[in-house]
Amino acid sequence: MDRIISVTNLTKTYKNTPALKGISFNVKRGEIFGILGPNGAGKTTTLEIIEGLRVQTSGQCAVLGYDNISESAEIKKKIGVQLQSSKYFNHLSLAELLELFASLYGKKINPVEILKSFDLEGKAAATVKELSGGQKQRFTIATALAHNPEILFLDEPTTGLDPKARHDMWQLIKGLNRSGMTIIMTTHYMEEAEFLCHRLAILDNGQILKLDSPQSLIAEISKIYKISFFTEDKISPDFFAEFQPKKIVLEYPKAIVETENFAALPKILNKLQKEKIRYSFLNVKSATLEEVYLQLTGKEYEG
Amino acid sequence: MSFYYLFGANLKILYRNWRGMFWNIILPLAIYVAVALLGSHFKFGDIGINYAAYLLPGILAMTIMQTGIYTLAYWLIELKENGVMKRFAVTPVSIAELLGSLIGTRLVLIYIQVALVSAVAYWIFGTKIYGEALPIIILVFLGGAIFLSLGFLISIIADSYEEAAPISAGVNLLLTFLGNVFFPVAILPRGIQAIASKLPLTFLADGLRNSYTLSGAGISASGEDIVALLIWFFIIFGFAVYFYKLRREK
Repeated sequence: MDRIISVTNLTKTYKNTPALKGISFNVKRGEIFGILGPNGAGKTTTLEIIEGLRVQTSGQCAVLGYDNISESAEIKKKIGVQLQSSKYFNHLSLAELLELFASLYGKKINPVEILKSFDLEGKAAATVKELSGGQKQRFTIATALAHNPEILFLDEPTTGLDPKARHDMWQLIKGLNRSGMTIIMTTHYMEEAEFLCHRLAILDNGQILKLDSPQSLIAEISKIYKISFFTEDKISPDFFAEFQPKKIVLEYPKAIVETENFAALPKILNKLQKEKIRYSFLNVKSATLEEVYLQLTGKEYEG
Repeated sequence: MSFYYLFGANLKILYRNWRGMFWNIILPLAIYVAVALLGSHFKFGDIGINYAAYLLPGILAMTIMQTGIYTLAYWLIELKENGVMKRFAVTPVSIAELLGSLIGTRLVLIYIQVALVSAVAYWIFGTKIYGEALPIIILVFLGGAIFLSLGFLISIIADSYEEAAPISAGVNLLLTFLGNVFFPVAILPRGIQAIASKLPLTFLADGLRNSYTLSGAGISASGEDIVALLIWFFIIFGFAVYFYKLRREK
């Protein structure tokens, strides 16, 4: 079976507030599927419906062919879930918790082996309280995988982590996927979606705006290149006029120039050097998902 | 398999949380000793035996009630509030297994409490158990089941500690005062007696009192109490299941 998760016209209304307004997508075996959107878009609600924590108002949802309402128990046996904020019993060690979670699926495991693959074997006898943020997140994923599920559900796996812990988590997720794990995840970080996901659904206000690979989504919109730098010198907008830029933002000491003309980039740098403009923190970026979001919604992205 | 691990995990949590255990055992003991010493000066009508012997089953019943309500209500609310319940909800474990392990382990705790307090009562006041063991085992089991179910019910109805605290305290106080613990229900005013005589704690204390103080008392001595406790159990557990189904996240 290639489509291991299929969602068709899912809606969810709380009292009179629609949280999901009819979304449809499939997740293919072996891919990392992302749902990207700002807070309140409906990402967690979507995941919770598929996981069996909530029931949809209308629409169908199937995981590995099982219906999410009538066969929820079957689905739960085959999936591993990392919730947005995970708490565990305080008085049990990591090893005891892993054994407990595996037992809920009828599996007996060697907890220290599993902790080793998450770089946590030194903490086997520790409680969750004694872990750092990054360690806690790794442990949360470990409990989700202790019973060897077919699909992994991640709800904002790097929220609250410092940059290093975030990058470590990205490597861990990529590594899991490389060894065959199908992953469905939500995130409100553009970079994370770009880096990790094979395909991405952009969710806003309960609706999917676009669904494609991050690269295709970016390629679809017009290519805009952005040069930004810091300078103490005074520059007027006319400085850049000859390059016919799309947009110039001069907010001392920061300057941003946007152009569709890739060839203009080295010319702008040349001129800066020729005119002896002292600049620092030079940054050249191509279009990002943020621009995709802006194009689709007309709104600035506020994750 | 999962029930075995859940049961073991809950036992570990209970005894590793030694502070809580300390209060669960020391407090009822302290109350018993203090009140037994004080109470020997008061006359509650003709109870026929010394007050320490009269009080012990009452205190045991009270302890069973308090352990049942407090350990389960607060624990379940905490698990709900901090998301532990949600984490279990995405696993194949059923609510029956979860609840069964929570209630089962606390029943073990209750039996230990009853044994310990009875042992200390014998050591300090020479209070003996005159009746058979089986009715006591059954009564403690039923009493535990009722009040643990009550704790479960409170955890469903109350959404937070702030809501649970007055409910638990209120139930606890009311039942302790009216429930045949420190003095016979007969000395209460008539109107209140009508209610007090039907409370679950009253039946539990009465049943235990028969078994502790009546020579050779078997099941028949507390037969009515056991039947009444069974009825109470189905009522309270029934309400708990009803409200649980009503409030389930949809």
